[in-house]
Amino acid sequence: MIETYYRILRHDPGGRLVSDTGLIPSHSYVIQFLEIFDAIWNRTDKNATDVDGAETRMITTAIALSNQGRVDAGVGADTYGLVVGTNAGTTAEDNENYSLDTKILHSGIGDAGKLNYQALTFVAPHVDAPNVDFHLSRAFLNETGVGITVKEIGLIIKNATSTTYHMILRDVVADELVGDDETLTVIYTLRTTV
Amino acid sequence: MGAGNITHGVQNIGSAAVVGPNVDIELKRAFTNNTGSTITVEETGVYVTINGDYHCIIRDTLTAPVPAMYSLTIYYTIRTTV
Repeated sequence: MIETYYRILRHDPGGRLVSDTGLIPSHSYVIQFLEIFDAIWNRTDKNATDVDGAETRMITTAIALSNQGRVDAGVGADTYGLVVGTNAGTTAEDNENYSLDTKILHSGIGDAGKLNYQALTFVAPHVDAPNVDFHLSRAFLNETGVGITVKEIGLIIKNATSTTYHMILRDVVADELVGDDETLTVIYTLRTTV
Repeated sequence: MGAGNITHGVQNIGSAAVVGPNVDIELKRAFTNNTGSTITVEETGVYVTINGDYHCIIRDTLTAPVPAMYSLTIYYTIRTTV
């Protein structure tokens, strides 16, 4: 069985843990996720709905797999990897979601309404009895001077040879008010178990 | 048809699609027993391959007797739902 969870932690400017949701079941794989397997298993090029709502190439068989489906976003990269948003339009989770409702953009200088995106980090798949877990996490620092409320999270993949991006996970989460100089850390755990 | 061997049909992989409240992708493969005696299948799995290496990504145990000249079709449905 494949299960997926998310966990959201908030730390104050001194690094002290302010809140921790614990593991919450994620219900939000969207169709683009299984379309990746469709492409790989069928060895076929695959178009899918990108984050702009256009049908664009998600997987190209002639390109090395290592250059596709990437989520290894670095500091400041807000176009892919783990992303957060305000869900200003209160869009519900749906199998055919293709983007966050309202993504919060990156700023390294505290621009209003933006967060400072840190690099996505991985903990490789490992046995954590009785499961096998694969963790992806990313920290977001609020340097704007006022609070920002995160209401949605997601995971976007990038094809390194193009400028198109496809979302594969989206969750609407309980309000997380990130105070000034606080850091929000989002962790997705992909889990298999027998 | 060697004793204890089973004839592997072509691997069929559907497209990922919305099915009711879910998104499904279905894998199926038929196995025909062309020997003269029953073969009991007690495990199934899915292998992936790259560069000549093979890795098992799914494995299940079951008990499914396949009499002579009968076929067994295994379906795996990978499903997501919100």
